[in-house]
Amino acid sequence: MNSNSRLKVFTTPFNSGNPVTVLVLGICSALAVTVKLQPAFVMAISVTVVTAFSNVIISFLRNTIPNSIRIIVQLLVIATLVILVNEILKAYVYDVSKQLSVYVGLIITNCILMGRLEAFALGNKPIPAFIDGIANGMGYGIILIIVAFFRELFGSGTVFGIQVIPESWYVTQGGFYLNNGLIILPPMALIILGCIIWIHRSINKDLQEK
Amino acid sequence: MENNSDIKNKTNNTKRKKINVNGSAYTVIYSVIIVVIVAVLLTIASTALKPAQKLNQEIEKKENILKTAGKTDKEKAKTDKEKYISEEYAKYISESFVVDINGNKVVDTNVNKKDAFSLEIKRELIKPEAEICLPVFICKDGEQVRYIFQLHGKGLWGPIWGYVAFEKDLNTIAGVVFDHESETPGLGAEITTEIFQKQFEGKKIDEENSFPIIVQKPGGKLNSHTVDGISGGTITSRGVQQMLADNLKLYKGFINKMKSENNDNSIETNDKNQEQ
Repeated sequence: MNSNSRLKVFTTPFNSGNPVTVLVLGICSALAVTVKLQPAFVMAISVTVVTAFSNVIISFLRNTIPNSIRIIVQLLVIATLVILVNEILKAYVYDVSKQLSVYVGLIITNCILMGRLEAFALGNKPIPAFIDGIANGMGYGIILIIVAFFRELFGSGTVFGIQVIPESWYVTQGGFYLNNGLIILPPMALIILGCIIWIHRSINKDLQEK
Repeated sequence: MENNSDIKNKTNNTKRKKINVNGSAYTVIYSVIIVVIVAVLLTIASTALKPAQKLNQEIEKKENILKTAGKTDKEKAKTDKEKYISEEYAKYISESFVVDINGNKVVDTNVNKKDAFSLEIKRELIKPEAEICLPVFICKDGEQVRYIFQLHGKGLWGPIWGYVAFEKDLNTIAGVVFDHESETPGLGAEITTEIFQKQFEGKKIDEENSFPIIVQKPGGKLNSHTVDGISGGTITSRGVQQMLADNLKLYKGFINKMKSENNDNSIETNDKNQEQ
């Protein structure tokens, strides 16, 4: 595989092969962790790391895995990696692991991982598989962060936990503004996601079905 | 990724031997081997990292206890947290012991060591009332004495827990710390924020010990028994209220006992003063 096609492997997930907006993978976690930017950011990084390394491991193993149990083997690799990451975080960066808590478990069920293992790692060499994992994790992460940005801004009036909308605007302080409680709930994430897909498709005409 | 190389070797071996990868025997052996490798790997990781994890948990517990009593400085805790917290803990937490439901100190007769710090309150709460043991921490800073109790309850998705510190009168709350396992970020998880926890400071539990700290809908009128809940986090807010009520009910014996002791003491000191 030459550097040109490697570059293509890297760029596809950001545009015509985005895991969330085009392949519609990982929607569940995109709804669950996007109330605030911080968890979304951490989730994005964790998924990137786990996708990349599980891709590499499966790619190394790809010629040995019996076809009938390949899904189980993939799951085993993902789950092992996630547990290892969790244990290491707990031991050395306890504060981070506390923030992650539930999300670490959610990584195992993230469809992107299985999707990439099935679609890419089983048929490609380790290095492209690694690039593919990183790129897909990032493509997923970008969407997550965009959604989380809008949800945190309008739902809590903050960005990364910093108050952006002036305190004096709020009704409780005698102002006119109220946080939008609806946007904190999962359905609004789906609507924001829908808008992103809409914008994405109107920019990239190739994605529109005729 | 040390196991990568192992896996790579295995790949090469199988290639050389040209085994039928989809045969039943191969599949069974393959799955056995991979499961064993994973199991060994996880066991090693878990055992090797346990001491470090335990230390982290202990430090966190100490930090929470100190925070409840209002004895931590965020800025100072940033550099070498472990040392700072341990030192502060040794300095301020003068006494910790276990009490039963009637408020009597539990003397360690059991083989299981019952010290307040390592007691798991979660396990105590499911025991029959007569057997429940409750940890009490006493924080002394000069004249100031604060009693710290441990709390455990239910949120919306999972357990919530925390600590509550009382002033010497055992009626006024000096501070609280809450934490949770899996409440929704931005909603229920807001109970861990300082804004929410600050509200509890100075609130009073009733003279009749009915513990009516009420976490109510935000925006209503507040008095000395009520705090604002979290909008959108109703069930977690109610969980906090219930946790305080349930746990403090168990501490009632100890609270009453200490109150009467304190009264006796103050009468005695008054008497002494008069004699002098």
